[in-house]
Amino acid sequence: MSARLARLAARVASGEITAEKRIRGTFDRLMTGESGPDRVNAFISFDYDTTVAQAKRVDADPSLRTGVLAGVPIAVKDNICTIDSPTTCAARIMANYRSPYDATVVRRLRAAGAVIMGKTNMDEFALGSSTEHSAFGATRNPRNLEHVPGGSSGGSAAAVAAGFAEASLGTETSGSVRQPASFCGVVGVRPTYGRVSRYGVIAFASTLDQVGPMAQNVEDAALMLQVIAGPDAYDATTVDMEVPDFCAHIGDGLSGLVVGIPREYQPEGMDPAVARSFAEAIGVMRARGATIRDVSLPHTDLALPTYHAIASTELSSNLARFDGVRFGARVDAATPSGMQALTRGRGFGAETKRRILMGTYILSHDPALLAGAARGRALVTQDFLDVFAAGIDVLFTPTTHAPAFKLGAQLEPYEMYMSDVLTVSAALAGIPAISIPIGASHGLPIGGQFMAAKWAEPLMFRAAAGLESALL
Amino acid sequence: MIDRAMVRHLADAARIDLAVEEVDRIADQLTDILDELGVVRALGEADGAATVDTVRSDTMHEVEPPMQPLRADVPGADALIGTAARFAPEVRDGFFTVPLLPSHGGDPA
Amino acid sequence: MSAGDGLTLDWEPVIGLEIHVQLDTATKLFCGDAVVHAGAPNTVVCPVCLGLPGALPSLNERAVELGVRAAALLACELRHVSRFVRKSYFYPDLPKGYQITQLDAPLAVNGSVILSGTGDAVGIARVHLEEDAGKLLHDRVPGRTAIDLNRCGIPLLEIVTDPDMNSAADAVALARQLRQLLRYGGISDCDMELGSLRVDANVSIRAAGSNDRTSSRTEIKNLNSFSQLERAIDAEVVRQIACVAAGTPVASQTLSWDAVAHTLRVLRTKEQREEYRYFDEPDLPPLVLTPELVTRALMDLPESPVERASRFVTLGLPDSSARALAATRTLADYFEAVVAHGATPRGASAWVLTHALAWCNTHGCGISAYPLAPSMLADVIARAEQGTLTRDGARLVVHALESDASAGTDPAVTMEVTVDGIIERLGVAEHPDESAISDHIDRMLADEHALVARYRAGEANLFGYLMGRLMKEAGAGADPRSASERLRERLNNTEER
Ligand SMILES: [Mg+2]
Ligand SMILES: [Zn+2]
Repeated sequence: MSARLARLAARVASGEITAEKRIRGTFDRLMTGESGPDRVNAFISFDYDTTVAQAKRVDADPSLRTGVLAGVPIAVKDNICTIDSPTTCAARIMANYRSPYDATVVRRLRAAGAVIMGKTNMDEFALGSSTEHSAFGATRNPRNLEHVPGGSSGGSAAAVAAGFAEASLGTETSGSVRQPASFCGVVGVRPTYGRVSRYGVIAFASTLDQVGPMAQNVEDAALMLQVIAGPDAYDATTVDMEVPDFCAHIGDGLSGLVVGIPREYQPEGMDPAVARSFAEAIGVMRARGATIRDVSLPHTDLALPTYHAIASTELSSNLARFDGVRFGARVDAATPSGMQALTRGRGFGAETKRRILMGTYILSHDPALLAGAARGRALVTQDFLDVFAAGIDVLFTPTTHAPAFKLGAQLEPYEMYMSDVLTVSAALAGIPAISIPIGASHGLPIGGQFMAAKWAEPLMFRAAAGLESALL
Repeated sequence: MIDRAMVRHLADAARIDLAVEEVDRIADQLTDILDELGVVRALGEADGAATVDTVRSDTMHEVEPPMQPLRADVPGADALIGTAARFAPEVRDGFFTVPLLPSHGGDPA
Repeated sequence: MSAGDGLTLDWEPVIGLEIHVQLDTATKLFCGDAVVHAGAPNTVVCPVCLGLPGALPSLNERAVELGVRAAALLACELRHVSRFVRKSYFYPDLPKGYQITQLDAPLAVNGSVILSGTGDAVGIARVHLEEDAGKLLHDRVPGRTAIDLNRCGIPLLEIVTDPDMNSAADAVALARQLRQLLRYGGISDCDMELGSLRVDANVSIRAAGSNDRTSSRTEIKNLNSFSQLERAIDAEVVRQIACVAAGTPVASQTLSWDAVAHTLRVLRTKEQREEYRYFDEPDLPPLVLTPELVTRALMDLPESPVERASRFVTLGLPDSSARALAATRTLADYFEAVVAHGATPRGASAWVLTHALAWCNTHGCGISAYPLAPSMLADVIARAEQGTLTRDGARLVVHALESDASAGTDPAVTMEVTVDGIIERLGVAEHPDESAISDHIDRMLADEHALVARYRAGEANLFGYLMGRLMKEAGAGADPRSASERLRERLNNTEER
């Protein structure tokens, strides 16, 4: 089932099917399916006419019709700006916002012939791990509707898992692509920081945010990344280097790879089913010729609190622009400052307000915490540099310590942040990582994660594809 | 320890109107969260002289410093689709508009 | 008003300036929107300068180059690596809720400017890049404050001096000198009325002669001319002295100068630094000045006005003329172009400082609008110096060229034709055979040296007799009108005395 996207695009290019016909089929499925959009609530917006209009443009333009994603329906997380649909971040303050420009990643998808078929649900401003904290209601896990899809890119994961979209874009700050991919049983990628443009992606924490593809298999995810990756004049944090062919070594298999198993990634309270699937995956890799090594990332404990300090700080600054003056919703008052305070007080959800205030506190009153976070980040990053310098090709860990939890589990804030504990270090270090399905427990998927050195996505995709095919 | 007065001060600085019960809840939650981050604060204190003057949020750039790319000084901004009315809450005669500033005769109430 | 009562004997002002100039770039600091001064509201904006969700800054290379040029002119040390920070506050003219500026790692530090009047050095603490905010208008939409964001993101260079000045007059002198330097370097047009030069003053007082740095200072904003700068500082010094005399400490405040009422108004108590919640701009990696960039930036950096004036003195010009010619870069460039086209420095100086500047004053414009190309003026000067045009004739030719050119002909293209044509039309050419008149004058002056000396000593009525001697010498072929002109010139030539 690999390279599904390429086959779908080829059928449009060859004229076997039009993009329009395929999109109509997609919408039929979306509207009538067993677990239709009303039950999963994967989307904040999807519009039949807009999507069909895009498909017609693809059919009419030879360069789009022969693109690598020609006529492929792609779902996009609702914090990524699109000109032909609302972009809400799942926030009341942005409920009716229509962006006057497309994000760079959206432009690149469109140029490859893709059709943006809908905008997916998420935790408000990407603050959360369950997609329950949305102004548009919770998304359900298509594998089991009583469970969350994970988050914050839960809608993007659910849309692929439910078959509404062939692939999707999510965004990551600490694990918001990999964790829902793991919960929903799909593939989710965090690229190297600087690999993919953030222009048009509504910022949460600028030094951590990255756009990542989600797909049904590793090769499709690699193809999606191929389309969106590369330097962008609109984003000074993208790095000006040639993008390698992510699929070039994807079929080279596991033989000869050195896989590190970090001993700090087996947290207390790990679900036995996760531990079992993880051990089985290691066994499979060893059987396929990989060398398995025990390694240590000694500063792993620092990652979560370090991340939390940095992310809140950057968030508080990045959300200052949501002030009711130039865009979005407004609650009017007698003065500009009163208007701004009411707009923000009513327009932001509880978690958003809490984190903005936390960041405001750190920036004005807690310099030691911020200095410590800078130090913590350097230490966590150095851990990775050390293991990769010692000959480890990729690291392998569970993506999450348990399968998807139930809707409405009412986690305390810090407990909820814990669900990022296995994914957050890669985000701090800016290295690439991927989550793939490695098992299931009571019908709920279990994910495994590969991490690689900066810019080493080809190696990461090779390892992930190798395990994926071995597990089939 | 974050008390209610501190939360109100922060909310003022961050321009967020909070209900009384929100102030209470957030004070407790921020106190808890900041406690959890003590290990990181200790790192900063151990590093010495951490004052607001040396605030630096970002070490990724220091571990492996990239260079800032520069843009040629040639006109050509990303175009806006449609007019401001498409996305703005209030536009009149081409201006974004807000309540009159108190310093210019607005109602300071 | 000047602080003239007895109290001022005990106190002296301590003044530093914060100067913002708009950099002369084609586009904004962080986006590709054009820099324009007019235009319908919110028409020169994009996702970046509107601060729309998802937009990111990308730094204008030319702004960095101009900052480097300014740093060089102000004798600053360049920072090989500088950083941008976010300065956070909420105001309706500030789209992102923060201004992108520089703080602990500015573009350049530790410069100085020598005040040309007193010879005193004023330290330049720092030079950094930052973005401008938008404009608020309170009378365009009834009952609402209207926001125009066209100005948003226009590149500014902030120059902060050390508190090295002790009088309003010195502060004004420094501001003038900075303006001259920045115009010279092509860094900014420094137009205070258009807001491309903004001066804020930090003022405190201390016991005269002491080195006290403890007294709190105030910042005066909204100073739209040099005279307002001077008045506002003087008024603030008087106010602070009165405060101290009355036993009330000076509060750390930001003040606004009311140019109509000539009074200071409190804008706000001065923010503490942590209230701005500064932190590194995560969307912009550190700015690294490569050797290539610095070389490019400094490639055509002109001499400073002071250096240039002293070079003009070495060309044989008097000090005052040299300084007048070096006052603006365009004037100095014009003068040098005239010399380069063959005029003597003295001749070029005299013609540029009198005729060309007179024309510019009359027409209210700069030398760049002067209709005579340097080559053309050089041509006329050369003819006058060779004697094929009299001084009056040359003057007439220049006037005619000025009005012809103003009337729309392109003098540069048809230079020879025009100068020759005008001379022909005006009939002011000296006949070639008449240049022999010089020889007759030489001989006659030698013969009559005693009378010549008396004439030069003041006996003007001897002119008629000397003229008669000349015409007898020259014979009937000579033109009496030009002969008398030439004779008078020679008699009045101070160098022959
Ligand atoms: Mg400034
Ligand atoms: Zn712009």
